[in-house]
Amino acid sequence: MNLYLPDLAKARVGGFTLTWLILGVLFFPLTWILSSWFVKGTERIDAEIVAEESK
Amino acid sequence: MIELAFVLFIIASTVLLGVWATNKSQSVSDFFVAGRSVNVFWNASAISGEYLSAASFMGVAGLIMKNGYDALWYPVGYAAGYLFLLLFIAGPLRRFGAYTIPDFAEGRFHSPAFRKIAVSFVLFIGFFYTMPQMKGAGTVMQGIMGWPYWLGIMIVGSVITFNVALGGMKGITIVQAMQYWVKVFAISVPCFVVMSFLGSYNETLGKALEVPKGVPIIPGSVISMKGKAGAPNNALALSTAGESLVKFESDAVLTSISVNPKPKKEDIFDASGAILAVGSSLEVSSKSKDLVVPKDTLVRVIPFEVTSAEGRKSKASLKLEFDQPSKIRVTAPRSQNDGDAFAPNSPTNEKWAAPFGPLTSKNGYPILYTYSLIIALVCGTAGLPHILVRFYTNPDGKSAKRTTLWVMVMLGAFYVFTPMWGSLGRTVMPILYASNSTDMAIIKLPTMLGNETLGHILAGITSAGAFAAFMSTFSGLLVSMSGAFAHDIYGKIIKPESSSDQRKTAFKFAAVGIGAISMLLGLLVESFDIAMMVGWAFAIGAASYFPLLLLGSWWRGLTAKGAATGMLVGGMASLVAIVTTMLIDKKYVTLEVSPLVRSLMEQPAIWGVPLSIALMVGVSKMTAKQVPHDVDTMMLRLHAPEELGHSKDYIS
Repeated sequence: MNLYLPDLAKARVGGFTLTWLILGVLFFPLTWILSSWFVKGTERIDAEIVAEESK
Repeated sequence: MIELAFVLFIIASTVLLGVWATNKSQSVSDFFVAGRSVNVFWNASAISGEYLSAASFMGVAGLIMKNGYDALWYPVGYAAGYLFLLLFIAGPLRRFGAYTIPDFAEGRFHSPAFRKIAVSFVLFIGFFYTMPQMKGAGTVMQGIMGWPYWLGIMIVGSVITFNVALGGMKGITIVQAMQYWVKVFAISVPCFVVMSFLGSYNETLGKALEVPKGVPIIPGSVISMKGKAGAPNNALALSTAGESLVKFESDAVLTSISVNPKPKKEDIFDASGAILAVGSSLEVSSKSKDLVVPKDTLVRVIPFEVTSAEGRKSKASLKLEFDQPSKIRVTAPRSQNDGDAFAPNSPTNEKWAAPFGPLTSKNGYPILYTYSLIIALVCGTAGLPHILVRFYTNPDGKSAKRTTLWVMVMLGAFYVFTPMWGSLGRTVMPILYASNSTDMAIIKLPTMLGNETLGHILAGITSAGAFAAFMSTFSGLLVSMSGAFAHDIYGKIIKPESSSDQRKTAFKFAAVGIGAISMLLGLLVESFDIAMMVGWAFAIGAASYFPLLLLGSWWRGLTAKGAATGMLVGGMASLVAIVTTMLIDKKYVTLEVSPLVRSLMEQPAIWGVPLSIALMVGVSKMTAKQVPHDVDTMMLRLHAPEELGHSKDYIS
């Protein structure tokens, strides 16, 4: 984004530059969402496999 | 004094908690992997506690203060590395059921020889990672109490060695878990208090950005410069924003004066009037070398214009490198800012807050540098043996994944504060730029509140947090290294018939021995950067363990020979590149390399990781006949849910 949209990256959001806000603040909650989605997904698949095998 | 009380309190409670937990730790399994019974929440706290080291607590905030936006990649990379670990490695690794990474190496390929290689990397990465922790302990005590460097090291080193030798893994799990919460408290609460006095996060950032070409202003107080031993942190790069007056408060020797930023060959400039001594007959020019400057000399430095071959104009000034530790003051002529000077060594606001600033573009290849840094941090996290060994303390693969999820939340909650400290540091305490001690920002900042008692209390809290960081990381490293020694070297190589009690004794001896070596190594690295040293450990881990674990758990065709070749060559090549860069920086060797090669050597991950993976794949293809015959069983063990009963624990 910094490479292709330098002006957007420099836009200000309440004192932050947009790119700083994304990388320095919003990135962390994003990792939480991704990882919880992954953990739920794998647990569901695991449960399906177990159910199938034990039939 | 208040600071010392806080530090002593955290040390004492670490010892007591360790002793208490030890009384509950009985069996051998308790000793190595905490009985595999630690619940998700506490295990996640312990992993986070172990992971957040001196580099995270002090180094990251310091780097962000020094380099701005580019350094944001450090906290982001440290956190994203865990995401990688969760997606590809956490579940399979736990399901495989081995004690240590070398167990995995041997068990997956039935190759005892491979175990030896894997063990040597545990010790290698471990020692590289302990050195910065030791350095952190030494410098913090130096900074807040004025104690000699070795004393802080001895205290932290012996306390932790005692704890580990006594209680093994279970003894430290509870301690590390508690230390995570100490660290989060210590980085967040003082940050909020400081912000309530000095302006909130977005306010300070906004203020820092008001004047694009501006630089923070420093008062004319005495600055201690480090000598040659601190290289490359012994330089005073005067600001290009305006004139500076440098007053020498002690005798000093300047090893060299040079133009900064370093001009290219085609650049046109006139630096003849850039520096002159005021009121003394000292002969000084922009090219002086080994210049002896007597006490009370006053020197005036004036920025000048540089025109590049393409006709672009920019400002440059001079950089003074100090030979011995010296005291100076930097001020400006009365006509400008009432005599307050522009902070030396500080990038302009614009460069600081935008990508591809001073950190990544110093060699002229900012994009390459940025991506290589990202790869090193992300893959390196998944290649740290002391973090990986923690996954074995989970009861099963499912809880290993849940633990990692919690770790992500805990790490995010911690790292989000580091850029706040960095940006507060820039607006509130720019004098740290001048003395090259931005690492101390988090310890020193609270003293700027204007309320002395509160300032000391907050500084005490952050110092205690820093100590919690050294101690928890060092104890984790000591456990994994002593474990590798007792379990892998003693138990599998030297004396395979040894009883489990003998191994427990071996663990204790190993802990004491390795603790002592770590303290000695710590004494040797006083002059290196904390974050730099951690970077080495990450780059080596990224090029050795990460490819092994990734391919080992996902690719059937991997053979022992392939994995060993990739790990050895990739890891060693990265190590050599990094050590060479460091020797050049320290001026132990002189080697002129092109800026491209220099970037690649400083951040080797961008070629080291692919090299290692390519070798693993290539050599495995060549030795395809030697693919372990039971690879399908292995894959089942790695990936099938526990309920199906394919997993088996090595030692239960």
